[in-house]
Amino acid sequence: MTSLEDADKLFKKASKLCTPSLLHLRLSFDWEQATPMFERAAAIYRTKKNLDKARQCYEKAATGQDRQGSPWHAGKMMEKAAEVCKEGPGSQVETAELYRQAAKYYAEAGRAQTSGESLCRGAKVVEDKDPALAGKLYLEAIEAVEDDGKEGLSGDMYRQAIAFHIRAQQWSDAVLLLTRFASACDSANLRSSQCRAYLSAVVVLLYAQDTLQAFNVYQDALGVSNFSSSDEAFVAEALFEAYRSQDAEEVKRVVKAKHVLSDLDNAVARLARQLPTGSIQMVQLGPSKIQTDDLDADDLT
Amino acid sequence: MSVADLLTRSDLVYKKYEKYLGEKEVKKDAKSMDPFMDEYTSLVEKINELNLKAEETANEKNRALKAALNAELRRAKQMLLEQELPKMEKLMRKGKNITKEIIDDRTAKIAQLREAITTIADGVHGTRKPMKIGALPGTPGKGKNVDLAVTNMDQRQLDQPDYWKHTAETSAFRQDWEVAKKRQDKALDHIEKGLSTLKGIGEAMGETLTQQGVILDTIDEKVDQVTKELRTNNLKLKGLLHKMRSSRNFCLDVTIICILLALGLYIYETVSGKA
Repeated sequence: MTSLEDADKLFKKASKLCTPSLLHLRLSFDWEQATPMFERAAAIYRTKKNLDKARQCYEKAATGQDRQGSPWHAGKMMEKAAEVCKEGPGSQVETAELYRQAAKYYAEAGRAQTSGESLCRGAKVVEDKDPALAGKLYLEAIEAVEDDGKEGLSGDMYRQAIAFHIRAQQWSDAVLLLTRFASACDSANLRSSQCRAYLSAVVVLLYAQDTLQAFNVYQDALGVSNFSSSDEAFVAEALFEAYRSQDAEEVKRVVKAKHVLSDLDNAVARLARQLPTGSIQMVQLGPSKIQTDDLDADDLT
Repeated sequence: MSVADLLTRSDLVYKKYEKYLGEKEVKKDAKSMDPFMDEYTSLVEKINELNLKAEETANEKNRALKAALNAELRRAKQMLLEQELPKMEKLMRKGKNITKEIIDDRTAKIAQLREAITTIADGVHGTRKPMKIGALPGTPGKGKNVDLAVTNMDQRQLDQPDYWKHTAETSAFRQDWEVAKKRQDKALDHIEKGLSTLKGIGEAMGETLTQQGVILDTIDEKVDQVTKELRTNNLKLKGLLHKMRSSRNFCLDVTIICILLALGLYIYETVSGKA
């Protein structure tokens, strides 16, 4: 039966193994034996809710794994330590630091995606109490993945970060991430996700009542060949036509009629259903008709 | 070497030699005397940075990346206009020995800054329209006009005024047609909804498959590598075992055991002989 005394014994024994001593002819740390002991002690402490010691043990185990040359295992131990820190009285900054350390270990092991995922998990953990820190962690996660060129495989990470920013009503951050996601999809040739990302960016900006920015983003997106021939582009065009008519009912009708809007991410689809927000301002959205030469029937030239 | 490796290594090297960096001389910009000018100089620097970024973005070939960078530029511009300029306006009246001329001068500077910020190029250009592949620009893709050619009609019949009036039959027929049309339209809307959902699902599945394909390719390469390493390890182990278990060693071991046993027997005999 595992008990606190067992855990204490294991911890003492493992710590002794980590100190050089002449009696046992040990000149350097014996991590190979100490690491599993630390892990076991940490698990027992965790079940007995002695979270401080559990965290210490996990951190030592992580160092042990690192010295043994296995940064991936070190990263796993660090993540466990971070989880314990979150459960305990540790501050959000400490938890975030532990997750960052875990991400560094994963990056050392060459696993950029796992590194990004661990930062995302950290962000999710701290987002309730410290949204600014969560925002930073999400950004670090995305940068880690982009640096390694694997951004096309990490759609979930982007989605989580975007949903967080929408929940926190940080519209410009959400739009930035959406455009970034769209360019990531471009590199991996994920047509559908890319078009949906651009349409989501337009919807978010319209919801935030920034019609000029929405139109600018839309125009930029139309430069991308995948988007300019997609259904999503036509839906955006219809939305802007409705806004130009300055009729709130018209906008609602378009939102209801176009099913593509309900196929977007949950968070963005919810925003789309609430369009139009505020008063529809008369903003310079550009000419509604293409400037073709007006043919005058009487002009015979 | 991956980018992450480069980053960690450069971090370590930097930390190692950090102490050799000279102490950065902090310029005392007469900070207590003129906060306005400090803010002004820092804003001018920020505007120059943004202009450089705008130039780089303009030269970017990848359109999607360009869109993302433009969005960032616009956001930075908005933040400058909404946060920094009001700060400057508040600082306008602060400081020692402020005369009316200085205030006018500062107002002019703020106006200049505002113009400089708004003229940062952020990729705003003429209007584009979406278009289906294969369509000409200028055709918004609406239904084509169908021209009905009416031929072989007797002109005298057409000229009679009663020809064009509704009878009971024709109006009933027309009503039937309208009801049927409405029903069909409803059904078609239903189908359209279902089809668009199916299209979304299909596209998502396709994308997931593409992603999985890429992952499978990486796994394939890694497994090939691991198989090669295993093969070499197996061969090495075989060699080692051969060395350990060679028959020469075995014969030697047997002979030595026989000699030891013989020795033991001899010692036993002498001891039991004595006793």
